[in-house]
Amino acid sequence: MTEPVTPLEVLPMPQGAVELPESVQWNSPRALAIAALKEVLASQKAPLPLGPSIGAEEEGRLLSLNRFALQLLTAGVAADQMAVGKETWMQESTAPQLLLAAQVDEENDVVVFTGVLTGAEFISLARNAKPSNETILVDTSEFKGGVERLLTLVQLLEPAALPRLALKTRTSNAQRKVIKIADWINGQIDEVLGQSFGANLQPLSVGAFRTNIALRFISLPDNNALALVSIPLGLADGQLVSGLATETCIERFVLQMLATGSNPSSPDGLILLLSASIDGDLLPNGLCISACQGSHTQQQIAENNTTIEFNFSGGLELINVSLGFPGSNDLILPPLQLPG
Amino acid sequence: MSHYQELLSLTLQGIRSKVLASAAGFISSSHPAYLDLDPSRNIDLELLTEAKSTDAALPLLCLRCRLSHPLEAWIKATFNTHHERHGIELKAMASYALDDQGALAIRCSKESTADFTYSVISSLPKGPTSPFSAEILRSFDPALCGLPHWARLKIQSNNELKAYFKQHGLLLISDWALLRDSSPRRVQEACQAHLRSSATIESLIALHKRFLPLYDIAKQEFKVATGKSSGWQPGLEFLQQLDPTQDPFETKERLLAIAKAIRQLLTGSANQSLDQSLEAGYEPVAPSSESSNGPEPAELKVLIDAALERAMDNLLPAELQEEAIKFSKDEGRKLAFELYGQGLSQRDIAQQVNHQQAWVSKLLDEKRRSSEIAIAAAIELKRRPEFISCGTSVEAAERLVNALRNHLVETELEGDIPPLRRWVQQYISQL
Repeated sequence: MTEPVTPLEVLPMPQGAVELPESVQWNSPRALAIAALKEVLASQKAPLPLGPSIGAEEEGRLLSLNRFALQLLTAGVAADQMAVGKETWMQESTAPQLLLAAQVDEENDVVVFTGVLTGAEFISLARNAKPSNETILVDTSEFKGGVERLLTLVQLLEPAALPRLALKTRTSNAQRKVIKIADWINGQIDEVLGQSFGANLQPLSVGAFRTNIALRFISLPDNNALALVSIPLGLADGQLVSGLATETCIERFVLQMLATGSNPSSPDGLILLLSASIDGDLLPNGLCISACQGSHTQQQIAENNTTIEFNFSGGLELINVSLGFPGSNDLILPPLQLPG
Repeated sequence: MSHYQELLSLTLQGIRSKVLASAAGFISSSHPAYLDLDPSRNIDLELLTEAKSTDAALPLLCLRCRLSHPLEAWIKATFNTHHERHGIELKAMASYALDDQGALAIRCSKESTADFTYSVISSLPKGPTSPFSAEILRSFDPALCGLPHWARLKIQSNNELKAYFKQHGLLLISDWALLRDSSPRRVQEACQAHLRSSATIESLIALHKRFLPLYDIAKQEFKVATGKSSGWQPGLEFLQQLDPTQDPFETKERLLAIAKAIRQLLTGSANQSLDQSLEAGYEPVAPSSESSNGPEPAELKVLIDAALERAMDNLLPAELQEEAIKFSKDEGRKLAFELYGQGLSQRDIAQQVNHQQAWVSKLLDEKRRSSEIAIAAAIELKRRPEFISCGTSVEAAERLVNALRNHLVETELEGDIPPLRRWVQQYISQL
């Protein structure tokens, strides 16, 4: 018979835990967490503005720390999971840039800042999480670096370096607006592509550039390249991620979407090229790309491929592109439209 | 049967057990059948009923003996787990719980005493009561749980003990808060590994799931009513609402059993998880590995060292001035900083200043100070082209700060003193 395990009666107070005065009656764990955050910020030599000055204790309200939108999450000091409200994550305009996890011991008036997730890190975890109605549960162990990580990111990064990313459900994918490929010629890239997928645009007005691009695309007609949009992609713990979230991925690849046409102001074709980030590298086996326009569907699963290329010429129907990988949620791009 | 006549209490020599002649005589004469029986809930209930109906002191004395045993076991187990790292003392802990010396009278006010009977302890004003056994017995409701469990629940919510633990870097967490903090996944894992119960795991998980929202409401009501965040205990109504089909006593026992299983799961596994998660992401990185393009590593090192030096000059004097004010209170404080400057480990410093390592760690606060300096230096370095990516990339920003932090506190060559310690040494020597 094995020895019974002695129950753990007390928890060791983690280093950096903030102890708040017991004489104050705190209304909620969030009130304790905000008081602790203010105490941490007050100990900093350089003042970091924290807002809002009124109503910060309201549950669910986003905070603003040094121009970064911050979602403050609270759970008990012994919690193993934190619940993240979905509501604020449904649109880019309201999505936070950072999530700060505070584990609060109301019985002892102690707050432990467990760590931080960026929006991209959260989205990547959320894709893996069990679907639920209003919240997404994230293991507390996913929040890294304590309050030091928060202080590092809000002081070193430009706010634009942490895009506001929204959670996309399949329904919202189906309903979202159409991306006009013609806009790329004018140097415009839709917010959804830019912020949610980290896409970047390269207008191709110079002949030399066009020639250079032409070498990569097998199916490109002579000198017909008009604009190139690239989406960095990667596999993080077996999940497909895009944009900034790919920075820490070991397996990285890129989806290039090239608008083509003989008329420089109106594209009439689209070439999709999926390739590894490093020229000549193999794509991950099992990676699947599908693109369909009306009844015309192209699909290929990578198996020792260095590139996969699809070509669409004209047509009024929308082009729907998605990527899949075994065990991962699909990455679905907004529908793309060529001019009629 | 000795549990009803043997009292464990704190004496000048430590925790000692003594057989109380009056308790032993009472059992021999009034309840000789108990002598052949193990302590049980039935005996507890009979003695309590007798203490209430006759208002005699002796049945209550037997119960005071009885509850001293689970209290002592709890104290010893907690002491054994944490005293080495946190410096808690058994006698200090026992002074909060095992302060009952077995007297047949209880102090009711500064001037007066009365017989230690149920009616007397029930009429004492609300608030902490001495001895602690009086507080346990007067609030005990046998319909809700057994006496040993109740004793443990009361010690878990003892505010003075809680404050004592906090001073030593430990957080006393109640079963109810622990249940609230735990996810269904953890409950399942804990029950599978540590719980032997007639109830199925599915039913225990369902019970826990129903507990969560009810607890939130009850806790909020308790806070409004009492102004306190700790001390809540589930009442009869709460337990009936939680499971109308079950005896409330059984429901509470099940909740307590789940909490115990969670505590067993946490032993060893999650004991240090918070500290570990705070440390996560701080892998050692050499500062010179920061950039592969641009200036030579030697030039970069000059830049980095200069930025760190400026950051320390800017941040540390005010911090150490504040520390220096407290040097006269405790000689060990200054000595600890001196030894730190000389490169001693925190363990060695603790030995020399005669304090626990946790005290030294809290005093030096190396992690926070080094992080703040590293961030300040990184902000300066970010203006240079070699480090410009730190403004746009999470990975680059964190890599730079981690590298600077490591450079501040780690020696690169054997025998070297790391920059932060060197700076502290120079500053302290000038005081």
